Formats: sequence, structure tokens, C-alpha cells
Amino acid sequence: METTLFSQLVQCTIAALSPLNIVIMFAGLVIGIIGGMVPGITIVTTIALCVPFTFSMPIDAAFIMLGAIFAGGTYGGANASILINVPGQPSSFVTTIDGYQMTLNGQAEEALYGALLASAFGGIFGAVALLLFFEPLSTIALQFGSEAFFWLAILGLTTLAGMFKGATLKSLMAGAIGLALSTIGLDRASGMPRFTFGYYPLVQGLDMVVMMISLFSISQILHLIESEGEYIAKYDHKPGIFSRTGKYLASHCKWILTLGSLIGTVVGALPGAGGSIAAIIAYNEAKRWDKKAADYGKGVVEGVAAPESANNGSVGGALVPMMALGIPGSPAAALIAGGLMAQGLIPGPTMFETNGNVAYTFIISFIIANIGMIPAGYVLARICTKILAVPKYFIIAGVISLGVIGAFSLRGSMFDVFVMLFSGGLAYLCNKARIAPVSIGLGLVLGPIIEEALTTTMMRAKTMDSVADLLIFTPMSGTLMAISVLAVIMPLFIGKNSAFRSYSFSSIRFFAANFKRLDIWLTVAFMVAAAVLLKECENITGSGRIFPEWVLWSIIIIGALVCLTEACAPVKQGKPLTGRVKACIAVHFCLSLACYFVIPVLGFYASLLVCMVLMLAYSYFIFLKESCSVKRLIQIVAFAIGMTVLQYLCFSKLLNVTVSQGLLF
Amino acid sequence: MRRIGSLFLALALAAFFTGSAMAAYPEKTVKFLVPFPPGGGADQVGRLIEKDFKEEFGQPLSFIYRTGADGGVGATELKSMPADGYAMGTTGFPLLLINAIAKKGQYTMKDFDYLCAPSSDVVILVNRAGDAVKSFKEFVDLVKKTPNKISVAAVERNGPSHLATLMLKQAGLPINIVPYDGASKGVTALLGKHIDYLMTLRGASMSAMSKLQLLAVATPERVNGLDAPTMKEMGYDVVSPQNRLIFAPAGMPAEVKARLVEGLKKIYSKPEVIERHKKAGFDIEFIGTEEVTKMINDFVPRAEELLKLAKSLE
Repeated sequence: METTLFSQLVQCTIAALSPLNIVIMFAGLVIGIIGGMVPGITIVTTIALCVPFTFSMPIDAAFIMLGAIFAGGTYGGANASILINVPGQPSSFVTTIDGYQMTLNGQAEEALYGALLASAFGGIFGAVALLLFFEPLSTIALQFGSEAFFWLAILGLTTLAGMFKGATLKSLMAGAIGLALSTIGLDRASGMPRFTFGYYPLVQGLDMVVMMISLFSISQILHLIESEGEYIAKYDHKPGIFSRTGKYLASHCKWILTLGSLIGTVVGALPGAGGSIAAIIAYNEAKRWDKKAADYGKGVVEGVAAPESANNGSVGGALVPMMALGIPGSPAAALIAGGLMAQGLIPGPTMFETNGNVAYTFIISFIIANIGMIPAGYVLARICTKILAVPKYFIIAGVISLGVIGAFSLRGSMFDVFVMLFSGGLAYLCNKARIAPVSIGLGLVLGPIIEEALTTTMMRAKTMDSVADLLIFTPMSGTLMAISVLAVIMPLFIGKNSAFRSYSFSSIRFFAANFKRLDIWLTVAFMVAAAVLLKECENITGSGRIFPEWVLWSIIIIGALVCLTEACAPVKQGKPLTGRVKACIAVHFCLSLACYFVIPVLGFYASLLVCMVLMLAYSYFIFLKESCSVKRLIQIVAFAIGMTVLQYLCFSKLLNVTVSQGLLF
Repeated sequence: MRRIGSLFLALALAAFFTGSAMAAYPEKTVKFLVPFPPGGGADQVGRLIEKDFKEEFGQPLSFIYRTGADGGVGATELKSMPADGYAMGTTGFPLLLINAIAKKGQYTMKDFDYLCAPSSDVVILVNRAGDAVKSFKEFVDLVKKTPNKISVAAVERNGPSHLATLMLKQAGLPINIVPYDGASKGVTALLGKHIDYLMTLRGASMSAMSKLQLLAVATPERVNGLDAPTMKEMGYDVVSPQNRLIFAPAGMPAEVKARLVEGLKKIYSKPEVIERHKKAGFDIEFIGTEEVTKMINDFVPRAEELLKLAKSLE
């Protein structure tokens, strides 16, 4: 009897839906979402921890679990992005732009449910595409050579131009700074250390997750101190938001969701490109084609739906090369491949012929997991909104301490902790100067992709007359290049918000007040740093020199333009910060740094505990001038102890992170 | 009588303590340092023998991950751990050597004792299945006809496949070398027709083999089960080793080292261990401590030479 594809699929679906499998699925979803939510715990770690458990499970249960963790983890990062402006996963950092704004506008639940539904849609779209179209998808992905990768990443970079109206130049400079930071560490051309100045810990470069924590977490948390009010944002739970958000997405966002998922699936199918670049491009493109483009960045659900559908779509996409060619396209996909191989399944083109049932069961499980994510995510989102009911000073102390242990746990390196604190403080200053940390983050994510693609293209082009033959004069490069150039030029010169419009070049007088301006000083500081690194470039031999030189020169040139235009513009006074607020911010920052120095003496958790207690005590008793009540003291100590215990259980016990020992614990 | 009695007691106690010191290793958990993220090939080295290690030695392995600098950070960390038999780790050869030369790690090869090389991989030269060039000889002829116009890609920078391409060039074949960052990117570029020839590792490209055509191998002798000549027999001295290595900080007490090596050898001879590794894509080919140390020392000068060549080609 000939089994049609449809009947096979139906069979597999029925097999996948046993009660045991459903329980395992929800377990996997919860584990995945929580792992994805916590900044510092990556999807790869979560999956790696759970894969050994799947060895002893029956095959369909193993698939459901892995699929659930993958889907949940990719979505989970959005929760942290939306509620506390800290990306839980690198691929959710684009969601912070509109997501956190929505929280500040009192629309936290709309954002959370929007992210959830968009993620589920993206995941299902990617899985269906995988099931039905993995051959053509794979063929499309194969057409992207290194030169196409280069321009694709540049296209992602052009998001900077349109992201912040009126601050285009600063945004571009911030992007260049991010690109420059990504060059520290190993030179991608030769694998040799670069810009390490002989200091060994820098050989590892700046870890992406650490930088995300510092750029978003620390800077944002210090910024919170400035805001009025005792909580992050006003939030009242109103019934019916979930269905309203769902209806809105279904009626107004069909195109955006489809576009985002499509971009996610295709970009995910390119080995080396992941959820982050998919989310960046999806956000960019959604904005480009949406009539409401001007509202992006002010807090619209479209700005959350596009990147979230893309990064979940990229999960299905990452499995395409695995199914079609037998090559995992991302580290997480490689882990899944390992899990499959342990069950006796060899991923690859023969999978559907020799083990059709098993292969289909795997994909079906993934689709079911995405559907199951909706109720699981809903419940967890409701729980997460409770965070908004916690007074902000507790959140501040908690996030700083979580950031410290999160940064440490990635590579077991105290250096990462120092980098995180230092760049966090710097990012806070940048934020005040309207040099957006999000743009720096963009540069950091895209830098490695751009440089690697450029280097590979240059090496390939040695057999041709010139690099331009590959880089410019091929159909794919040419098209992508033209789009990128237009994307940068248009916001600069055309339209109501062009960067140069509000500046009058005819009256170039320096306002004396300019010398007090943080943004000019900061820009100058960056230009000086760039010049120093340029000098260091002379020590780099070979092609590892080209990319940093270009980027550093851009920092200097754009920085000069920024200084010029800012100097000519009338100074826009924001609300000045009172001395007490500045002192509070300084105290928090100094306590964090002190914690770093005290850890080798007192021990990791002891230092974190003391640090939290001191921060909270300062916030309430000195800054807020509350009277020293026993009730408050007990709250503070209980919170600190609770956080420490939680972190200990999670990091030391679960993740086996060995922390430095000191006098105490 | 009493003196003889106390002497006897002293001797008995001495025998008991030294005897038990030897019999007691290991008396606690043994740390296993993995210089790459969990779940990858390096992690598998430890995970695949975790159960058997516990059976053989009576103590569990505890996994420590120290990633960074292509494995350099982990190796640097292992060097400073005490050489008492309770710390060991895994890495690759020639990766460990290359990192030392390139200063990606703060150690020298003399800082470690090499316990064994349990498995190896083969560097292979492939092109697309169905391509007009069907053998290594045809490839060589094509390159000689169009010097410096044919690109051969590798799947890492300064790794075994890259070294193989360098050796090929050094042996007189005018190819253009394009290193890629990982087998996935390399194989994808080959299948997408962005490059036409790829030097890769069999283990990493195994699942894509149906779309590839094997031209040659970079080993001293032909490989069982692979129908392709060695580049050496075709006149090009390209022999690029790739082994997993289990190593420990130098200076372990001799009995501890002997016990460890003997135990590892036993583990890797068990049929179910070999089978388990095969399923995961590793062929067990156990090389003991003396052979491994010699192999490493012999390769050092060649590696240094090749890295200089790589630098000059950028």
C-alpha cells in the first residue's frame, strides 16, 4: 500500500501526541523559556545540559523535548528584553527597541503576548518550510557565497541609519565603535591575537553575551535610578489583552509576520548567520515597508512581532542545511544533530528515505512544540509581569548581581566581569550622550560576520583580476550593495528627519556651553582611542589589518562630523540631574566595581550578597531618606539571601560553574 | 623482643600506607577540562567514556569548560592545575601545538604529559559529486595547466586541513588557498559552487558524503574503507595528522600516570566503547603515551615552517 506524505504525517502526529510526550513537551518548553530568559544562560548551554537526558528516552519523546527547548529558548529571550530592557538571548536584542518602550508606555502585556504569538508563528512557519521546502530552501541558501554574506551583513548594518531620527550620525558612529570592539581578540584571517597589547585575557576577545549584559543591562539599570517612580513602569493587569493582541496581529500584522518568518527561515538556512542577524534584517525590512514606519521605536507591537517571528523562524531554517546536506548550520543545530545521532539517526539527505518516519516525527514534534509554546508562554509571561510589581531598587540590585555571575559563568573568567562592569558604565554615559548602546550592539554582532566574509572573498578573489569582480560585479553582490547604499543615503538627506536639516552651516559659532557637553567629550574620547588603535594596526601583518583600519578611520571621520554638527546646533537642554541622583548612580556603580575587587578576598557569593545589601541599604536609607525600619531591613536581607541562594542553585549546582573561593563562600 | 615487635609494626604501617597510597588513586573526583563549549566534539571525548571511567577507576569525572582562543585558554588553565592525577583534559593535535606557536595560549608543549590519542580523523580532498574532475591526477593536471587560478578551500585556519593545503603548495602545486571557518561553511561553499575543491576532515563531512567525491587522503598510508590514493603516493608529501589528545599537566607521579594510561587503554579496547564512538562518528585508533609524545616532537619543526608559509601568503 502506498503511503502518501499526508498519511505519513498524520501517523506521526498521532504518535507524537501521547500523554507522556505532552508532559515532556511542556517540561521542555518551561526549561527552554526560563533558560532563554535569563541573560547569561544561552540556548546552547540549556540544550547541552538536557541532551544526555534524552538518550534514555524513547525516540519521539527525545525529539519533542529537544524541539521544545529550542523553540522555548529562542522565544524566552524576549521576556527579559521587554520587561527590563536586557536581551535574554543575543537574538532578542532587537526586541528591546520597541518592546521596552511598550513596557514604559504601560503596555507590557501587549508586548509580551505579541512576542509570544509572533514567535510561535515564526517557529511554525520555519518548521513547515523545513518540511515541505527544504530542498529549494537549501538551493537558495547555497547561492549565498561569501560576497553575498558580506553585503547581507552590511544591509543589516544600514538599520543604523534609520534607527534614531535626528541622531543618524551618532548612530553610525556607535555602529562603527561596535565593529571596532568586535576586532579585539583573534584576527579572523590568520587566527592570531590582535589588539591585545600583550594582555593575555584579551585574546579571548569580548564575548557577545557579556557585551549584551553590559550594554543593555548595566547601562539600563543605572538609567532606571534617574526615572521617577518606585517601579519600572506603570502596569495594571487588564483582562482580555491576550485575545486583543492576538486579533490585532491577525488582522494588521499578517504581512509583517510572514515577512519576518520568511527572512528568518532563509537567513537561518545560511550557515554562520543566526537569529540575531535575521532579527536585525527583519526589523529593518518591516520598518521599510510599513506605513507606520515613523512609529517604530516608540513602542509598537509590529516592532516586536517582526524580529521575534524572524528569530524563531531561523530555528527551522538552521535545520535546513542539516536535513538537506547533513551539515548543521549553527551550534544549537549541531547539538540537536548529536541528539539525533545518539538515537541512531544520521542527519542528511538520506534521512527521509531510510528513516522517513523518524524524520517526519522530528519535524512534527517541532511544530507541536511551537503550538504548545503559546499556553506555556502565556502562563510564564503572566508570572514574569510580577517583576513589574517589584520596587525598582530591588530589581537594580538583583540585575547587577545576576549580571556579574552571568558574565562570569560564560567562560569562567573574572576578566569578563570586569569588562562587563567597565563597558556597562561607559554604555550608560553613551546613553546619556544619545550614542545608543543598541547601535554598538549591532556593530558587535555584525562585525565578525562582515570581516570574515570580506577576508574569505578577498582570498577567493586572488584567482581573479581584482576583488571587485567578486565583491561588486556579481548579480547578488550588486543588488545587495545598491540596496544598502540607498538605505544609508536616504535617511541622511531626504525626508523630514534628515540629519543635516536642523543644523545651520552658515552660522558656525561655537556655543561656549558646548564645552560642557558630554556627547562631544565622549565622541572626542572615542576618536582618540581609535587613533591609538590605528597606530597599533601597524603591528598587524597581513589581511587582518584591513577591516580594523577602515572601521577606525570611520570612527574618526564620523566622529569629526558629529562634533561639528553638534557644536553648531543649539543646545537642547534635557532635565538636569540633581546631585543626589548622580550620587546614587555613582554609588551603585562603585559598589559593583568594589564587588569585583572584593570577590577574590571574600568569595564570589559572599561579595554579591554584601554588595546587594549595601546597594539596597543606600537606596532606601540614604537616597530615599527612609527611616531605618526593621521591616525594610528584613526585606533587604531576605531579598539578598534569596537571590544568592537562587544564583548558587542555578549556576554552581545546575551549570557546574566553579567560582573563585575566598575567605567566605 | 619489644624492639623487633615495634620495628615490625613500623614496617607494617609503612607498607600499609605506601601500599594504600598507590591503591588509593583515584580517591576523589577527577577533573576533566574541556577547552570548547559543551556538546561539541571535544566534549564528546569525555562524555563518551564517562560511564566507563567510573567503572574502571571507581571515581567520576567532573567536567570543567574553559573556552576561548581556539582552545588556548583551556590549555593554559590546565597547565596551572596540580599534576597529581586529578586533573586532565582533552584537546586536539596539532591544535595544541599550533596554539602554542601562535601564542594563543600561554604554555609550551613541555608543560604537559600526553596520556594518549584515542581517536583520529582523516584529512581528505574532495570536490562535488558528478564534477568533471574525477581523480587526484586530473586535479593536479588541471592546476598545472592553470597555475594560481584554482582555489582549494580548508575548513579551519591553521588547523589540519589548512596545513594540508599549505603542504600541497609547498610541494610545488600552484594552488590558491582559501581557509573557511568550519566544515559547515566550507562544504556549503563547495556545494554552492563558490569554490571547487575542499580539503576537509572526514568526520566533520561524513553526513554530506553522498554529495561529495573523494579525490585523495592526507595520510602516510591508504585508509581502510576509503577508496582514494594518498597524496604521498601520488608524489606530494602531504601528511597532515589530526588526533584527539588526552593530556595532563606535566610532572605526575609515575605510578599515577601508569595507572591512568593503563586504565584508559582498557577503556578504549572495550567493544561497546568502540561501537559507541563509531556511532558518534569517531574511529578509535588508540595511540599510547610514548608514541604520542614522539609524534608531537617530530611534528614541531614542520608545523613552525608551515605557519611561516601561511603568514607569507596573506
